[in-house]
Amino acid sequence: MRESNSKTDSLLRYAFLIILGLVMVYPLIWLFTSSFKTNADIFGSSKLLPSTYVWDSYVLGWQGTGQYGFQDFFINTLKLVIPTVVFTIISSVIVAYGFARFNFPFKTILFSIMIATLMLPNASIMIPRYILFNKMNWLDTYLPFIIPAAFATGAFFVYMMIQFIRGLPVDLDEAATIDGCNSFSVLTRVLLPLCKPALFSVGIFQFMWTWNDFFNSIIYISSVKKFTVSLGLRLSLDASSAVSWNQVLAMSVVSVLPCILLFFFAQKYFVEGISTTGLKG
Amino acid sequence: MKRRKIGALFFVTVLILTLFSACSTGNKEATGKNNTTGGTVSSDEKITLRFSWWGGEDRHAATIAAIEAYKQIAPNVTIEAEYQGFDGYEQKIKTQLAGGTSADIMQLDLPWLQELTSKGDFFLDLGNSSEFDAAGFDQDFLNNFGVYNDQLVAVPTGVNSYCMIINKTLADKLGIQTDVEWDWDSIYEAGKKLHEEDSSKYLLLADHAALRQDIVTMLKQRTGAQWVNEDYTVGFSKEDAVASFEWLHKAMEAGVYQPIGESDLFFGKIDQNPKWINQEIPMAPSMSSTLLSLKNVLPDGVEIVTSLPVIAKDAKDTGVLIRPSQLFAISNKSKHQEEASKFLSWFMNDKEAAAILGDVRSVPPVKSSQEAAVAAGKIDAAITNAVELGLSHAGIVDNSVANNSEVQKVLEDIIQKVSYGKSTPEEAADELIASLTSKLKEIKDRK
Amino acid sequence: MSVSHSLVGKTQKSMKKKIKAKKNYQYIGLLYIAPWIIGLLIFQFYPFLSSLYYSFTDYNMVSSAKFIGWDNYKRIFTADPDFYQSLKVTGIYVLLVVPVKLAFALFIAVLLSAKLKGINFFRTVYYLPSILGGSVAISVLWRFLFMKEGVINNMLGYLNIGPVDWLGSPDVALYTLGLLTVWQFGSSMVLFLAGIQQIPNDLYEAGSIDGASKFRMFFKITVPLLTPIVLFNLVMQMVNAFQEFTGAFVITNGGPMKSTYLYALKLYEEAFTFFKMGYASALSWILFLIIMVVTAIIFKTSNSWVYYEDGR
Repeated sequence: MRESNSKTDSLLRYAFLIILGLVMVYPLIWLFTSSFKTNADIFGSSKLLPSTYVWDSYVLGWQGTGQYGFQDFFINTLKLVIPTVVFTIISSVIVAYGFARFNFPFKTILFSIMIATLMLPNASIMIPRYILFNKMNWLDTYLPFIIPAAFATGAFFVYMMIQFIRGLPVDLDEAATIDGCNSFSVLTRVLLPLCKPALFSVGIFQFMWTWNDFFNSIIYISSVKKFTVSLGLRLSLDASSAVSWNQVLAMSVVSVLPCILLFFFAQKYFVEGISTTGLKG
Repeated sequence: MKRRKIGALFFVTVLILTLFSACSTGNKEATGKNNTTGGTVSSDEKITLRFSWWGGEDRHAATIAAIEAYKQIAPNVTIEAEYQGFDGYEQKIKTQLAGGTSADIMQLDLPWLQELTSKGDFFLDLGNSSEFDAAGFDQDFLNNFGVYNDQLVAVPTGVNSYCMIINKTLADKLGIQTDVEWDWDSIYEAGKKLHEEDSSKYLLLADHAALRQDIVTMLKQRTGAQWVNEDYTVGFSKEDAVASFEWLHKAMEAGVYQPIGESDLFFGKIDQNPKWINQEIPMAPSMSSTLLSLKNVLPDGVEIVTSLPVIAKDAKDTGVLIRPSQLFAISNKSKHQEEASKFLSWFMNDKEAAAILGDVRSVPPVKSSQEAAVAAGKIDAAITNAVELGLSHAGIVDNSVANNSEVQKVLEDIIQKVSYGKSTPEEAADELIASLTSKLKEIKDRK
Repeated sequence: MSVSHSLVGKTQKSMKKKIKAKKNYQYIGLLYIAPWIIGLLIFQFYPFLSSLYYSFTDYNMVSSAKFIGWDNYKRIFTADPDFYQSLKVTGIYVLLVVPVKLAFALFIAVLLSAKLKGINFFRTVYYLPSILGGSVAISVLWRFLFMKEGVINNMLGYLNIGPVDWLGSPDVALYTLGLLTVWQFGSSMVLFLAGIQQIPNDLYEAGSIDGASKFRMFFKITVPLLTPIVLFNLVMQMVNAFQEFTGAFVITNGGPMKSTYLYALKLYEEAFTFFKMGYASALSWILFLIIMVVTAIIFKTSNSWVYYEDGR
């Protein structure tokens, strides 16, 4: 892209990028190595590697101290996240198809409203939503996450899908229609296979956001039996006596692991997804 | 190229705004849901009860053990334990109460009860429950702390006394006496000396709640009366407040307390404070119910003793606080109120339960349970000592206004300002009286 | 990689398409977007409107809502010092975090835009913190790192600095939390990166023929062409920053001395620990209005600083 890539210039760049990179990931590496440390090492020392290794922090932390351990929290989180992700994908692709391929009254204004809801602060609807879910008897269940997802409330995802579908040639639809496909089978037979990358992006983003979500979990979920990983982690931070810090750190590692793995395996979709609409942080 | 879209977007936002602000009618809120009252349950029907509490690891372990033991007594009842540390528990429990998703049996803190009972009807009247046996409790204790609006909504979990919890092993090493009755001057001098000799050491461990208790104690010792009155007025003069804050200010400057910035990160979990764990702080003014968790983070062989909290030389009232460690209440939304009452009654009165639970919630409030726990060797002598000292020196009992958490928060906020040196004692006293007056008025008006 | 270009390139096309096809309506489209409309009405419009209604009531979820006119708003503005405190804290936080994060993201994006070997690796590394976002684990980590006895102070100790009371000092704690947010600059960075890759190379070539320095080209070519993305990032990051919750809740719980008492914490506390649903709704409406006003100001001023390429 740039012509003048002199040697010193790129060396300087590298040096800077490497140092900054270290600073960026150091906390994460520290988190990992410290999960094997004793308390004295976690606090008294600045060394990255433990002076004595504690190997049982993962096993003990995973078990937890009471009736429910991280195994339960993980299963719970999956019970919440998977339906949410699946419904998000289905609903956003259908709605996006509607917006991208059809002309109907008030389309422009509806589209603009959708864009506007992108900026609607969650804080301003959170209280009535809570009251609403309370009336519906949905508190302490995963429905407050799943049902809204089924109704395409994640405008971000819809927008992302619309942008993608618009990029697919209309000729394909037209050809299929001539072949006798109705509009729904145009979607399922022609467009869906082409949408795969976008579907992945939507799924991955929704997975991560829901997985990491803390605010909604703390409001809607109250019994420990239904706790998600976020809540379980917060629980172990509070409930543990100071003896077992490495366990808390170990469970922190475990709780971010799915996201990190997903990130590495699906990096391409991330970058694409973020560049399509570019949201959140 | 993007301009049009952004313009349209902005236009829509404004449109929505005007649209919505023009529309001021909403929908009427339906009245509260009907309470489901607990029906009778045949003994073989499987029931699940949720039981929530906060505490340290010993309390968790002992309580879970007691729950296990209850399986022998009522095999059809499964009890789900929901426990955590203190921090965040208050928010959680109140969120649940508001949403009607609270546990069947819950541990509550005294200050919340006044507030909760004034806001709504959340708890089962245990006085009316045929399944709950309240006879073993000291009736005054029960009436003082568990009865609101003529209903016994909660029962004390233990008798808790404010005391000085002392790491005797460390204190001996540092040359600090452990068998003296401290007054504010002597403890100041001792703390100042310790910190001057070794700047990594502090005499006292405290979070903002403990500091609040110290200031309240000081105020009561000066006035010999409540610090806020039953009629929602302030119970002390500006001079009293200035003097108390002056002591606090000077104690913070001299390093008598660990700086609040360090200690407050461990609010509600002082046993996690590294300085206590690393044995750099010998004394913690605290409730006797926290003794075990403070003890268990220290190595075996470290001796923990208790003594009276600080009492001013010319105190008009000792100000020594005796109160329930916490309280247990049963949700009136519980589907199994009878079974919950049965369990709670067992938990509080049964000798086997008492022997399992021991002193994890300080000294049991029911005489027979107390004896059973002592006989089982499950009550730490230091806790017994603290409670006995407390009972023999007990100050006036706080009224319910003083126990209101919003009122306490006002004091805590101002104490923080003094502790951080952001307010002079003079300013703080003015602000305290002004803020208290307005908060008390607000609460009174709400009634 | 067709998707990654769309932010800058595709909107215009779709605009044209829409204008062309406006004549005959295909009502089946409404059927496809029906789920969204239902969701919008139930989960967004209804809560949005009823929050306005609740803001004029005294409602604690137990007894029914009582209409009290402007009382909530009056009390917020006249008798609630914590409101001003949280507003102040949030204001500082937004003003601090958003520009720093964006400047950082832009700077790194420019560095990464050069065709160096292994650039993808760095992009991955820098993006990593962002995917963990507001997770509790990261808040836990931050608490450990920045404790008085924590590793940061131990490292500074070697340089004879500190110890700094990162989380315990009311003057510092907010910045420590801000650092956590800035650390997650990755998503803004990726956006800038995508934008930079859209800038035609010949502009730079022309620049270097004219003898412009790299520094000059950055400010005269790169920055202006990226301004639409800056605008987008600015608005989204601002809206998010105003609502920041997890870090302040888990790490400091608003303390010390309310120095990290962000608006979202205040809102949460009023609603979910004091049951003041009406009062909290009023607070949430004030937040909404603030965000809208700030957004409006940003859009208004954007005419003068956002560069639109005409006729591209």
